[in-house]
Amino acid sequence: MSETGKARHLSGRVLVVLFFLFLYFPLFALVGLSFNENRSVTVWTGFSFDWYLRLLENEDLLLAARTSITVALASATLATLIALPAAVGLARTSFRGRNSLDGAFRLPLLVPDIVFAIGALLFVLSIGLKPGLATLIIGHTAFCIPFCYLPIRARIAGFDWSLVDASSDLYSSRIRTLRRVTLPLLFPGIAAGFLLAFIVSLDDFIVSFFLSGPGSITVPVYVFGLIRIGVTPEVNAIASLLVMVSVTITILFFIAQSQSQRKVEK
Amino acid sequence: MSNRSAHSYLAIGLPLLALAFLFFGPLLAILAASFTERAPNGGIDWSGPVFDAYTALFYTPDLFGELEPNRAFLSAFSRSLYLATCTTLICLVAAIPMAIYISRRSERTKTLLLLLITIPFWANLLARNYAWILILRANGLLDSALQSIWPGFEGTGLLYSETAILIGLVYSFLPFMVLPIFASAERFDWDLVSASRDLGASVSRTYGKVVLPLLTPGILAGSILVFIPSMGNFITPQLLGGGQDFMLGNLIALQFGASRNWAHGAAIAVGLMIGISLVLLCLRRLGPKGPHLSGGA
Repeated sequence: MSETGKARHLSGRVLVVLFFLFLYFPLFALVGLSFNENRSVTVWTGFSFDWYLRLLENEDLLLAARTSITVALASATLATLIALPAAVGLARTSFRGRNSLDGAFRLPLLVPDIVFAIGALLFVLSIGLKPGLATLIIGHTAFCIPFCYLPIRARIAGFDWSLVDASSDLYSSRIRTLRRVTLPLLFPGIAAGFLLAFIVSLDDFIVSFFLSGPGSITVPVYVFGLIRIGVTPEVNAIASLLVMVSVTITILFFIAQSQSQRKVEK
Repeated sequence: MSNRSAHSYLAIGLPLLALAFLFFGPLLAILAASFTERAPNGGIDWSGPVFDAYTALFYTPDLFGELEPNRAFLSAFSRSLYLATCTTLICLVAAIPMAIYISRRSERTKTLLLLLITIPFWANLLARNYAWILILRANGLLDSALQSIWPGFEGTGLLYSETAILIGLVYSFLPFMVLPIFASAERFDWDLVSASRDLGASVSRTYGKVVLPLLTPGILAGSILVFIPSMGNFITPQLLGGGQDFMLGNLIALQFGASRNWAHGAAIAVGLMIGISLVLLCLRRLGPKGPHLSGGA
């Protein structure tokens, strides 16, 4: 390797190290400090699991966790039910304006969440709903749609429609074809979309902030309230927990996806 | 055949109705609310379209009822534009070499590096910004580290500053920039670089004339994905800017909270959307075929 080649190789390494240090140091600092026994948050004195145990006794937090999970499950399911037929339908037809419809299902990604959040609040109030669990689910479903739609679209792009045609040529009913051929083939895309939507819903703060009512607060909204009061070990522990939950789901998702890809390659 | 397409249209039609209801409904609600005025007890007075909320973006009555320029909106708008632009540029500078680096690794390393970039992106945004409070605050991790190297150091005083907001925004959205540029870089044929070098072009000329133009779709997609959420951001300026350095997102939220001037909040949101559309139009002109989201997603 030439001198400049070596130098470039080295600068590449340095770049990668700095880049990942920037991405990961805050996360490790946060999780590390959540195990600090001391109350003074940023001075390390010793390892302790206490702050996590205390969270288990926190009724408000447990209620918020239940709301968060309910909303995430419901909106990921609804968004999948909306995105799946749209993605399949758009793939099997061609007409003018098809591309703009395809764009419409991605559009929620291009609107800042604060704008959608206040719009959703004004909207649910104007149709006579009061902020609460139902409005949370309505709002979350809307911004989850593209996250369900895009993986299914990607899966369809590599889809062999002749299998579906073969199935109906062999006198399989439409429902049977859907159940036995189309859906199993699309399953990785559907599952990916569902999981992404689930995480995105779980992590959302701003839409929940505007749409939650008394008694239906999600975990991020609860945490935001605590952060406003101050930096405490309890907040460290909840924030770390939030990070660990999404990181675990992401890694599981990744493993599942690479395995399904390996199966396809075989 | 016609039966099948009839089913396809139904399959598209129903989700489209749902999307219209769930997503375009709220956007229309904002537009409608921006042409109303504040009801005496807060909330909205729906009687007749008025343009007061828009006038109020630029002029606001002072103590004596005379109109003067509305500093809150104008400064929040320019600050949001400035910080979102800086964030996009910093992310570009960091992401382009990183994306190129990843695209030239072996399949295994590539997958690992991409996973490592994706993980923090899915971690909770609130928690990630909160982590920076721990680092930047007075006597926080950064101050303690600097003080142990340099005793008597007074502290950086970084928390609750524009710099802190900038750090938080870059940290929040950097992965959005890397992934689309990587998608472009991966399709890139590196023989073109050798060809350009063999024909006597310098390294910088090769990058400027060959590499960057071919990365443009990824760069545009990444810039859009970073710029939009930065421009309308609420969490970062709230947590790391301490609410002093208001960006548009905070100003909008304020109208729906303490100020209870929903019409004004809706008008600011419309202003934000118009600002974003203008930037998108400019970017579309730069791109060969216009930016699209498929680069990253």
